[in-house]
Amino acid sequence: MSPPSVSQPVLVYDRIAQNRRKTVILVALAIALTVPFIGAVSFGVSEFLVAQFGPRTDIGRTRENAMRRALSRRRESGRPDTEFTRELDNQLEAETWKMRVQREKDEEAIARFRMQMMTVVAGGFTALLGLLFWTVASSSTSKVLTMCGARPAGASENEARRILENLSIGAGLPTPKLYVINSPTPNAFAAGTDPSHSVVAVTQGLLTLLEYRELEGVLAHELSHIGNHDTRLNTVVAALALFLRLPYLLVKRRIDEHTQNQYHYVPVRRRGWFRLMFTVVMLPAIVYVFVVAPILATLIRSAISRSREFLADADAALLSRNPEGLVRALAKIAGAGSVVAVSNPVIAHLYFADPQAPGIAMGLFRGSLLATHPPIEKRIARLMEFNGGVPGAAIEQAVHEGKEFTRFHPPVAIETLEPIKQDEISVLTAGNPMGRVYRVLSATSLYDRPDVRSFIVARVPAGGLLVVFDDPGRFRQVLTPDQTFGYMPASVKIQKVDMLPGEIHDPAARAAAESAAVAAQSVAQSAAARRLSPAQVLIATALGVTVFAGIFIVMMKFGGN
Amino acid sequence: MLSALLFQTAAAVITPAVAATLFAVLMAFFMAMFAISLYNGLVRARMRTREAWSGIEVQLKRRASLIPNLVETVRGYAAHEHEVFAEVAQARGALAKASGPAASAAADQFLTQALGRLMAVAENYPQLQAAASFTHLQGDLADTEEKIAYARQFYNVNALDCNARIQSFPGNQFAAWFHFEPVTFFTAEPGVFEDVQVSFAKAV
Repeated sequence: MSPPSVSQPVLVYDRIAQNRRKTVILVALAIALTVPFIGAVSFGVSEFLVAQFGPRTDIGRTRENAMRRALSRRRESGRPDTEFTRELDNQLEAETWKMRVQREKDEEAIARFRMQMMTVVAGGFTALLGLLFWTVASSSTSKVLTMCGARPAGASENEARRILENLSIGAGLPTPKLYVINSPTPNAFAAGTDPSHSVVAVTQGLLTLLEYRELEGVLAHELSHIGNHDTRLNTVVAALALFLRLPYLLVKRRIDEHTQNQYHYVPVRRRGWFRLMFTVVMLPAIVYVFVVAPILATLIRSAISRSREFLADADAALLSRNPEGLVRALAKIAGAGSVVAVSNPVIAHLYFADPQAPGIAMGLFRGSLLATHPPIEKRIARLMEFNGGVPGAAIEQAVHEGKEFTRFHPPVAIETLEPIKQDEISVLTAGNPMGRVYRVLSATSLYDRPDVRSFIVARVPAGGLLVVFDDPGRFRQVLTPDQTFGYMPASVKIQKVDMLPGEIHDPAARAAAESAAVAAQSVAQSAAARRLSPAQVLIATALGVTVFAGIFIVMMKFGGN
Repeated sequence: MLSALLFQTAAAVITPAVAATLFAVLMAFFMAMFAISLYNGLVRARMRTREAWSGIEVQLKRRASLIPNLVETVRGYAAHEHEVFAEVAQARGALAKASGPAASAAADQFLTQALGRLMAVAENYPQLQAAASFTHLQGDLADTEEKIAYARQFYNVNALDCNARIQSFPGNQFAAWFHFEPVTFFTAEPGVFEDVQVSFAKAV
């Protein structure tokens, strides 16, 4: 008997190719937005610099034209044509000619200065873009997990771990670590830029609600996110979006500060005709930089996020060969609701279903354009295309089961938790309130106050693990495994350890990490907490070179005048 | 100005002849890079297929290592079912002796049938069914079968990629020249498509 013939075209490969193409187009569009953005900003800044610091011309074009008109009027006014008047005319013409030559030289100097300033500013802004990439990309997975309050999977999650292991054999990826979030709402996410250092986190509600095949579908979806390097892509897109929104966000911060400090906002007064012309000429650039680019950046970022969700759905169907499981899981989650109370808007795109409650303030913009996840009905519809369809009754029943689940496992009330007020710039500037785990390389003692002469609260042996909170200064704030808080001198060399801060309180995990090979690492690596990677050095050098070149050019121009 | 001077020197140096040779050199360079990347892609695809095949063998070995425990547990409760145990031992011996993919595939099929008969026999002993060690081993066996299935699926994915590269243009020119043979997909045994008879009647 021969294998059953395929009655439908294989849509899943087409869908996968289509989604990848869409991502490429959107990312190209985002990069294409950046180029005029850098151009507009550097043009504006260079115009400003020319106006403030640039070479000036004493003789404007209008004045020269006025003089020439006066001269021609003199000639046609019917004067006596004596040698004296002719001599006077020649002298005046010679003067005008000299003034014109001088003006042209001045204008050339101004144009050259403007070009140099534009190049310098454009280069500086491109280096800034690189700096943003690096900063956004270095936010670690453990920080994300701590933000969600996740714990490593224990013995009761063996089934889920087995499913994940089997799926990674099917995908040819290293098995990601499984973490569990203590929330009754069913949802899941995957994080990690490198497949060998990735994690998948599921909520307790998901494990309770879903059956074997449905859980397999959800985990296949998350594994597909990891395999498609979606976190890395989202990092790149987030950096681009932040770059395009930066002027808007800075101005918004300044306006917010002003409105908080004064009764009404007093804008900077612009005086003078030149300033007016400056603003009018710059208006398209200003509109683009402050209004159009931020909005487009947000839209593109949401569109890319949605497109990658569809791609992960299709890849999950291909991996598990069972789209029905994923369809039923989606239907159950649609019934149960996917709003996770502890979620942070900054990482909303990582979740399986949209974790944000529709806020009142965002009500106007909560249409499908800004959502990070496509609506569940559309996802189910696309998945149904692959399999020839799941009966509608099965979907109805799954939705009903989801709603029943919510009745018995109500979600945490959202109103009691204050929304996390973070705009995106704080991604760059916030320290790490959760702390990071480090290993101390030489024995040291912890002090009660940031003072070497104060009381010693604890001693830490060499190789001991600590949770370090960022504190610029001569002392670091640390927490020992037995919950003692103290200050450690900043001169003690520490080495980063890839663990969650919560894990060091567990003796088994701590012993395992402490006995890990310390001998293999040389002393030169002990400053790894401070050392810069080659990429960082390159970007910092580029930025420094650009800044110094700009200063040098400005000084030359200044001195030459 | 400096830029005017640059333009003049450039126009003097880069005559049409120089430009043509430069263009030809660049074209040749890019074509060489393209050819090299095609060849490397073929090599990588073939390596991945081989690695996926050994991945299947890893899972098969895992199942083979489960079997002694399973046999001992069943023997503890059903000591007089000698034929079944002998069959399993014979199948394991055949698998250990098999060399080459065809022989090991046949031996693996034999082992699967023997295991199936062992589990059918174990259905008759309710004490065995209740034993926690037996249910644990049964779960492990089911899990291993799934792992084997996923490993075969992964192998097929890589075989697809390898074959597609070998047979698309312009890769197929390389394939013939450098002796890249198409790899076979993992197909099921002929008996799989027949209907399975399930009966809940207890064997007497």
